[in-house]
Amino acid sequence: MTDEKQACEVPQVEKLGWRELYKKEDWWAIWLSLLIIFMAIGLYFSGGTLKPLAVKPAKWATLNQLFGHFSAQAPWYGLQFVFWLVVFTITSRILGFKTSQFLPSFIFLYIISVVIFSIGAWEEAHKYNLEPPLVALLVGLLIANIFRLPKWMDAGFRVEYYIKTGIVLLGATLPFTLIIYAGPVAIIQATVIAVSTCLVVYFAATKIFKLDKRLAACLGAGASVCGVSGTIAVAGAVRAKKEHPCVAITLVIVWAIIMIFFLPFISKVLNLHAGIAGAWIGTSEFADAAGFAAAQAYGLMVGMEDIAVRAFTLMKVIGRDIWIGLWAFGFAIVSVTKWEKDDLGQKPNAMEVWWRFPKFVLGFFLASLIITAVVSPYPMDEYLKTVKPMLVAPIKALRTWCFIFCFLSIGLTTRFRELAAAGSKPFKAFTMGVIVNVILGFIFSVLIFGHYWSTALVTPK
Amino acid sequence: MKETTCSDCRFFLNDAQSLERLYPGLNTLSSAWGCVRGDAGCCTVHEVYLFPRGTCRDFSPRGDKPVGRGD
Repeated sequence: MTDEKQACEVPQVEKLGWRELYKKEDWWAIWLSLLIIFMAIGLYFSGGTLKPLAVKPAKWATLNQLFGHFSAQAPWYGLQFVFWLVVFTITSRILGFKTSQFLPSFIFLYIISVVIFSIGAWEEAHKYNLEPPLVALLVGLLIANIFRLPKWMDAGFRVEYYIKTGIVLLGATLPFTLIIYAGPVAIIQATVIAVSTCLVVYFAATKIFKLDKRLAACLGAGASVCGVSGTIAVAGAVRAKKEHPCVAITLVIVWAIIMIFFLPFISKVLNLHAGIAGAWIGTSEFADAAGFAAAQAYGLMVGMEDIAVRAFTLMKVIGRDIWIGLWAFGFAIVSVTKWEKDDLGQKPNAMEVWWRFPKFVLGFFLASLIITAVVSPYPMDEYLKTVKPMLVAPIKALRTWCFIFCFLSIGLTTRFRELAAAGSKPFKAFTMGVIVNVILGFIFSVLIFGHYWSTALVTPK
Repeated sequence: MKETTCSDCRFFLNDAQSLERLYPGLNTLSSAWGCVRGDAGCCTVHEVYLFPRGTCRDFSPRGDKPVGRGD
């Protein structure tokens, strides 16, 4: 055996099986969200509410008002901080993170999140485009790229864990009937555009720029299916070279961050309805976390946060995310039957469709079903007067906290100096896909389904 | 019967922390702890990222545990 091989030996291999239920963050996002939802339901039916735990900065005009709010609500902020700290620390520990690293990192994250939340609650914030998602991202980017935080602090900056938890909680504020009603349209739009974008990137990469097919597949999946997650799923399916995912990850991150700012601001310039902009962002942004930042930012800009986030969620989560496994399986078949040139024998397995399935989506559906079943018997006036503020609003507030943690974590983990060099050919191929994707997204969201997205998402409950 | 797939090979790397070190930016908009990544990992001999159900002539059992015993 060569020294090189000896150096490559690794001490552990994950073989999860049923242990996936507590070793994958998708499942923890579900368990944690269900805990919050059942706490909210339990307290509501016993005459209480989860509202105090879901405290967040109130609208303020002067610093005195802001400090007054914090001094009055200090015990509840303390309780909320302890709640997040305990649940995230324990679950992160089970996932394999060191508590000694997670604790200081999360404390840092929470403190800055409070500051960003407070900035967003300023009455003048809207005038200066200080929407919390954009501020969180910018602050995180500045800290990560100017002050060089130690790498171990990434233990607390778990973008995906926070966004998945937020998405499951979001399910609790989305009527299940709306998912059934709008889901098929989202799937049609997302599928047409994702397939078109993937083909453009793939053929540009292989035919024009003569890149490796496997790299082209990684780039295509990253630009169309689901950003970095799509890249990673397809990279395994096509047995990409070790450096291929690095190239695709770099391009996805760079373009995703550009789109977080570009899509909301261009939507504002075009004066798009929040539902239309949300659908466009859901089609043309690359990753869940980045897309939620863009959609929520635009929703806040136009005062229709829920509509923008709903449209984005339907398009991205239902239209794109749940099909990742199918994409991986499809690419695995193509790889084995068309590209097979080495001896790493590996037949495609249809179970990949389930194995790669983003399980947190199950929690999203389940949360929606539970809350829909709980609130549907109430007449509208009672829902608006009691159920919404006492049961649904606290869940929504805790969801917003998860999103802030996530947006800040995106910035804090984006260290441009650490990203792999992508090279000009992959960049050009990927960019061609981005252009096609944004244009098609606009055509479908605005011109073809514009009326649908601007009217379908307003629901009484 | 002894397993000879990547998941039992000493050159296969798929623990989440190692993968996030190996792929800078993976944790920025995704995660090695996600179901989408599943149990895929990196063959450190062939320098290929793949699902762990294949096999090859360079397979070498992990020395520190009996081969073929999964969870």
